[in-house]
Amino acid sequence: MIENFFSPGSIEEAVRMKSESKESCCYISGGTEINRLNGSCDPKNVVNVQSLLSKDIVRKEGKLIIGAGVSLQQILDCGIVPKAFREFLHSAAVSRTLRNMASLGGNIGAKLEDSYVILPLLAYCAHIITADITEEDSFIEEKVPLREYIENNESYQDSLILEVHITDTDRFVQCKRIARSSQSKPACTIAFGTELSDSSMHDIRMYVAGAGIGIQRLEEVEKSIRDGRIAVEEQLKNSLNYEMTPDSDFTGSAEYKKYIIIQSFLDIFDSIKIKKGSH
Amino acid sequence: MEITLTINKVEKTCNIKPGISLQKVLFSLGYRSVRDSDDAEGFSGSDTVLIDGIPMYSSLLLAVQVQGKHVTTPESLIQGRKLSVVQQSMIDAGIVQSGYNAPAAALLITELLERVEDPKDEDVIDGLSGLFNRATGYKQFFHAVELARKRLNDPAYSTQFVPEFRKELRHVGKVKNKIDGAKLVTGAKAFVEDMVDQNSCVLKMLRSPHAHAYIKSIDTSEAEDIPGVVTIITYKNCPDIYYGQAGQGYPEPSPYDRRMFNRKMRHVGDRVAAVAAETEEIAKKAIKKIKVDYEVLQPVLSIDEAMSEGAPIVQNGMLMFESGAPENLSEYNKSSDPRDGKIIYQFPIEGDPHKNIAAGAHGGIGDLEKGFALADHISEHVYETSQVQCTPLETHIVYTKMDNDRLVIHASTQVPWHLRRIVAASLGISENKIRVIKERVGGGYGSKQDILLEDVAAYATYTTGRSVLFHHTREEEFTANSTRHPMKIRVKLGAKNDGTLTAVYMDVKANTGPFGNHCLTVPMNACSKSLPLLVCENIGFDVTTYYSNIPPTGAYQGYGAPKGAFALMMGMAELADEMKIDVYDLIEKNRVRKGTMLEILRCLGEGQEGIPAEVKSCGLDEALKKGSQQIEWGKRAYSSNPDIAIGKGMAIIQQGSGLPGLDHSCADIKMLADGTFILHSGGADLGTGLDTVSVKFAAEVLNVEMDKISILSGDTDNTPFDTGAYASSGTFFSGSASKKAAEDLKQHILSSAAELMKENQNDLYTEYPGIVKSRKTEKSISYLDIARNTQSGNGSGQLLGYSSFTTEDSAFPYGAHFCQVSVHKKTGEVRVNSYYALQDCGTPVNPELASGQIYGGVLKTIGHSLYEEMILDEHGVCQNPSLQYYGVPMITDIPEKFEAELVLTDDPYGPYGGKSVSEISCNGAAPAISMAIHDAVGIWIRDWPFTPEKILRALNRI
Repeated sequence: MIENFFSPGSIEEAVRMKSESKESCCYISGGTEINRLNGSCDPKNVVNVQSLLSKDIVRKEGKLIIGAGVSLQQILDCGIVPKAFREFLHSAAVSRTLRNMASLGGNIGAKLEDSYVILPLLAYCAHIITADITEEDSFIEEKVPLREYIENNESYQDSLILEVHITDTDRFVQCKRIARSSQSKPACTIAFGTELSDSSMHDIRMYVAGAGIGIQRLEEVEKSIRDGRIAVEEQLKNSLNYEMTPDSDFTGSAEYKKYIIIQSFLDIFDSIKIKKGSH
Repeated sequence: MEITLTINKVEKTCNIKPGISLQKVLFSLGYRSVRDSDDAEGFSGSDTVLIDGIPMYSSLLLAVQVQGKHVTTPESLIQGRKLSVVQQSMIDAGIVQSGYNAPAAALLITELLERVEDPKDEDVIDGLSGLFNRATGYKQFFHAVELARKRLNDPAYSTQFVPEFRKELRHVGKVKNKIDGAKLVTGAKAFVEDMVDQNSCVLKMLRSPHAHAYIKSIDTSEAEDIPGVVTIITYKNCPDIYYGQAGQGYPEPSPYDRRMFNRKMRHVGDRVAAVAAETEEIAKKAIKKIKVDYEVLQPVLSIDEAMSEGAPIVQNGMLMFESGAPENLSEYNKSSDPRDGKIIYQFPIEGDPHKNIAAGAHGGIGDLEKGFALADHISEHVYETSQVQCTPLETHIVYTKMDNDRLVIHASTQVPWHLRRIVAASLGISENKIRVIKERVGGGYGSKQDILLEDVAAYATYTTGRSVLFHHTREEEFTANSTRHPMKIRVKLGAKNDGTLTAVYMDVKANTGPFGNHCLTVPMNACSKSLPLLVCENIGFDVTTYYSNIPPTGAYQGYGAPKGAFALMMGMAELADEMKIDVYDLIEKNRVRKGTMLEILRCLGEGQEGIPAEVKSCGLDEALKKGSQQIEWGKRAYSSNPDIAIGKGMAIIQQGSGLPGLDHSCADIKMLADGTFILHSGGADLGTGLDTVSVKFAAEVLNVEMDKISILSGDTDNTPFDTGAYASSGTFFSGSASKKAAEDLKQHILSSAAELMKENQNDLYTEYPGIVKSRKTEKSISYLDIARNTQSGNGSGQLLGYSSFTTEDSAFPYGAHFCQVSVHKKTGEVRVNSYYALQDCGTPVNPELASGQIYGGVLKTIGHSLYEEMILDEHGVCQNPSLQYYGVPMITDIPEKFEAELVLTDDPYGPYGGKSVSEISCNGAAPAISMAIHDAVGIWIRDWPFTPEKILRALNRI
């Protein structure tokens, strides 16, 4: 139950409030997660960063920079955001009302396994700008790979996400949310990203998210593909099988989830073949 | 803390707690249109407001977040008493039915039309993507948007999205303003939660964490010591009275197998203790302080488990009978456990609780054995249906208070009179001490036929004198509300080579869960609403219902029919496939027609002998012909994607119109001093438009405009008895009672007019708008003059009409549903591309509302077929007790082509030829979709829901 709502005047003040809070504390930006039934946090203290975060989407020095305060609907409406990201957003965060509220930074910060934004951004090799207080009590802003932020959860407990940077907006990215109905909880989400040339794939990113999996990078599979070791469907299946341990739950059995994850990646590879063929 | 915000252009300053949601603040400030249907899940959209012009869920927002912002609620849309263009368009399009979140829909459509000048279908879908609506199936939202858009440019614009019927009638069959449409769409006070007085207590329930357990000890002392706790009720201090929760006519065919609180817990979520306290926070705090020690037992979670030798016994109490007790009863009761209490049957229904059997029935016509011996082909398969939830937008709620020595119950119920009877019985008081006021009902779909929380709230009020609000959370809806019975139905069909059926058999096994409410009638209904679809000399059925420890079951729109229709139509499809004939032809050859005598109904009464009936009207000829043309039956469709296969399916369906011989409706109508009328109907309008039906009938009879008749309904003090809104009885029973009362009044009007005009009554007739005329002298007198004269100092008295309507005649609605699906062979995904529901409801009295109910019924069942199921773990704990986790269909799930068509018939028994419409619409989607899946990829999926995982397994991909 929230007992205190703080409205700091600056980013630094916000981060200090969060890091100095002795009780459970969260940033609040859009507000779709903190007060939500089955929400991921139940804080006593809330630090309001809604008015502090950038709500701009700009292209600067070849990079796409999206402010953490930008709503998901703003992203969807913005033509300079890569189409694959927008399309996934539309299929994953289906409710426009929800998209109006949810902020990019908040959605990343919640680190949900059914996040609307984390997987596509990982596939784009996105970086984030975070604000922190160092052990020496200094305020710093630093650029970190989103991958690192997700993988090293403990290190970024008090970090406030300020921006998301996508350097290569031309990467080939495809994501899929797998659920029974358009708005029910997904069984899993997958994302695939690569630099695509006529002859090969480079800088591959493969991610899976869901219950029992968390947010998982399939590095071995990426390596195998990169090294040309995986060329046939069966090898890919074996490799994916080895790396994944999804839970059985109300969205489906573990066996089904493994199958559908593999099948979804195979579909993506098929679409890449078609894309290559059309070159 | 203090915040200042602007609400509907008025600046407000409020003192709030930091964690309170904006929805709670707005509601407490009187903005009643901003409701909560999902406990802040951010899903249903009943709580939608605009923040600085942008739609947002106010339950998710902390109120403090909107400091300094502009909040727009649906209350802003109406100007004085004039509805906005959008609000009026919504009523005209027929989408204001139960209306719980109609104001939110109005706000979203208004915002959409301000944002997008000429919205396309995808814009409408996107704009309304955050709104859940169970009643109407979303289709008519597109009509409402189109109507509003055109009227914004041309206020006089009018169009007809649904045809009108019966030219010779003024109101019946015409699109008219729904009586309560304006009230609902504007968000005026209408629902139980709007009637709660300041300083009322809040009741919260401590619920069992175990599916099967005895309470070894319970200690409430620490909880009682908390300041603000008003009362705590447990099995130790509740009345020692057994009753059933099913809102059925007395004597009920359901056993009385529970007290208000029991020592034995029979499902996760069963009642342990109720705490009434000054605030919700105090009640919750007290609940945490109640100490309970359980003896945990092995739960029984399926029909197979319940049937198995040595299975734990769910209801091991002492068996009793009000009548017809068997001779060996005392021997039987020797094995009962006093901790289990009692099970009292009103009359024998083949129950054997100590073997987990709650009820049974067996019967048939002809000679089954001979029928199967005559068959050239025999097909036999088992079909299963899952436990699904009604999910009304307004969760179950009751508000109880004392008025001197009388208990007043503001209820969201389908059965005000049964509610009064059951509460009176459970409290041990007489019915004259109770008044039930049925408020507007924010969705019932069967679940509000049962008495799920009224008894305990009433008892808390009656014992403390305090007003009490008891409102289910969404999770409680899943764990403590009635749901659709899971069933296992074996269908065996025999046919000659030419397709003529020689024998039809259904073995229905049902899982009633912890209590026996509807335990006989729902599974029997699976037979009685499906078997009569087929004409065959040899028909048989067996019904057995088992107790278990799953969450409670009960009535759900369609009752047993969706399950029976699924099994029987699938059986026909599989027989046709095995015989290599078209299922359409097989159905056509064997189906019911006008004039068919339904002898099988003699064996299918609800705990008594049934009444065989002749089919007096049947629209299946036209429905099948049109539907098959629309879907292009017999013509294979192909996808450009080689991984996607397309298939088609169909079903014929039927329901009843109330329960002839069991249901009973009454109404009265009185003439007011100016010649207008007030109609008192016992009927319970659930948002379906029953009040509008009643007023239309009365206006038609009396030859006046509808606005000359006001209606009061569902108030046990002020309106006469009615068995309630279930079993599709509204139009046929309650509507007929209103019509008959108006006819009675009309005779009094003519009689009085004859006296005043000094004419013979036989020469008089009524004429629009409210005039009595003489055929002989052409003299006339207005209703106004009649009223003034009859109510004058020497008048005959106020003119009153009264009726009680009972009948043994049946009016069966029929339908034919067709669909086309695409099945992805590698992912198992099924998409319903097109769906055509052709429905014979006799004369569609409210055609726009009838269409909405068809769309709503179909989409509910598409949900049940493809997405929805309550999933329990091995301990009986529901794993998906929220709207999103459970997976109800949204506007983003509707078929690309979705058409409901009304097929006109004129039933001689129906009022103005009308029959029922809503429930039947739930019966077709499951068999049609499953058949279509088979047509697409050659697999039979015989159990709900047809998930991608099941498809993939059937395709041997996993």
